[in-house]
Amino acid sequence: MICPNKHEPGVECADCRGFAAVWERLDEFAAPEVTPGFDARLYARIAANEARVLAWRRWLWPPVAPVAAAVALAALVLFIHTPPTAKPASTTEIEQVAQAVDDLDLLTPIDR
Amino acid sequence: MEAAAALERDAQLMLRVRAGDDTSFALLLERYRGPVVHFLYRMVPNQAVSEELAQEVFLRVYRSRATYEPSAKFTTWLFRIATHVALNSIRDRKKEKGHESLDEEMLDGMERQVADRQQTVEQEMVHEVKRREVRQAIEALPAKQRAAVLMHKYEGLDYAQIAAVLRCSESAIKSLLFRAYESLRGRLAHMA
Repeated sequence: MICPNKHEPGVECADCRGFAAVWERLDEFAAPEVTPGFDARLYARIAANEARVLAWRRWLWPPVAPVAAAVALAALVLFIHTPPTAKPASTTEIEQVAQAVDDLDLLTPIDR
Repeated sequence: MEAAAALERDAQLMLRVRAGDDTSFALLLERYRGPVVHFLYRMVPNQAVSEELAQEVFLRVYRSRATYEPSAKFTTWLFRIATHVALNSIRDRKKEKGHESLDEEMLDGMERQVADRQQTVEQEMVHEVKRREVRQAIEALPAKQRAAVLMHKYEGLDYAQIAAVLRCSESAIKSLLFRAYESLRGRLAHMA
């Protein structure tokens, strides 16, 4: 079993007997049977979860993706064409870029 | 040999679930519903909570189906999820332990009475006392030792599997189990 003492297989030491006694006593801790309806409740949870995921995808994908892509493209163009000596980006532009990056994150698959 | 084949079958079933076969999920549920619920019951001795947690385990299994890879035995993966769920629950419930434990004992006592009508009242009481002492001894173990003992004693996982579940070495698991059983031996020594 779990006895750390070195001895021949089949030979019991006092520790072996001690651990064997514990092993036997642990049998007293029986677990109750699973209640009826467990599977039905589980499948209901799975169905609810799947419905939530589907609803989220339906809400997210159609309107947001093209807008997010357009904003991201605009941000990229702005970044490429802004000369180094140009005036510092305004707070509004910084916020637009930050929003575009956030929107890009939304394009990653939900279940990844 | 037979056990190894059965484990491989479970990985195959899970791969079918990944491919969209819900019947295979039902087969896995049928096979592991009991072991998972019983493991969680012994981790957090409350039947309602253990079943709630078991449902969380199987929900996570189902949600992870698209990315499932049989890199470990299915039971290792399953019990890793179950242990994670259990440890989180134990951590969260430590804050509420004071006023809930009495309710748990009362409910469990009632459950045992319903289940053991065949025994005499005296036998039932003796059995209930022993069960409670073993339960308390196990509950007194640190959570990881508890999980290791439960997987080793009640679910039949070997050292390698338990090590994979708890993400440590086999020698660490042997040491962990030895300390756990030593502790249990001390607590249960008075039981005849």
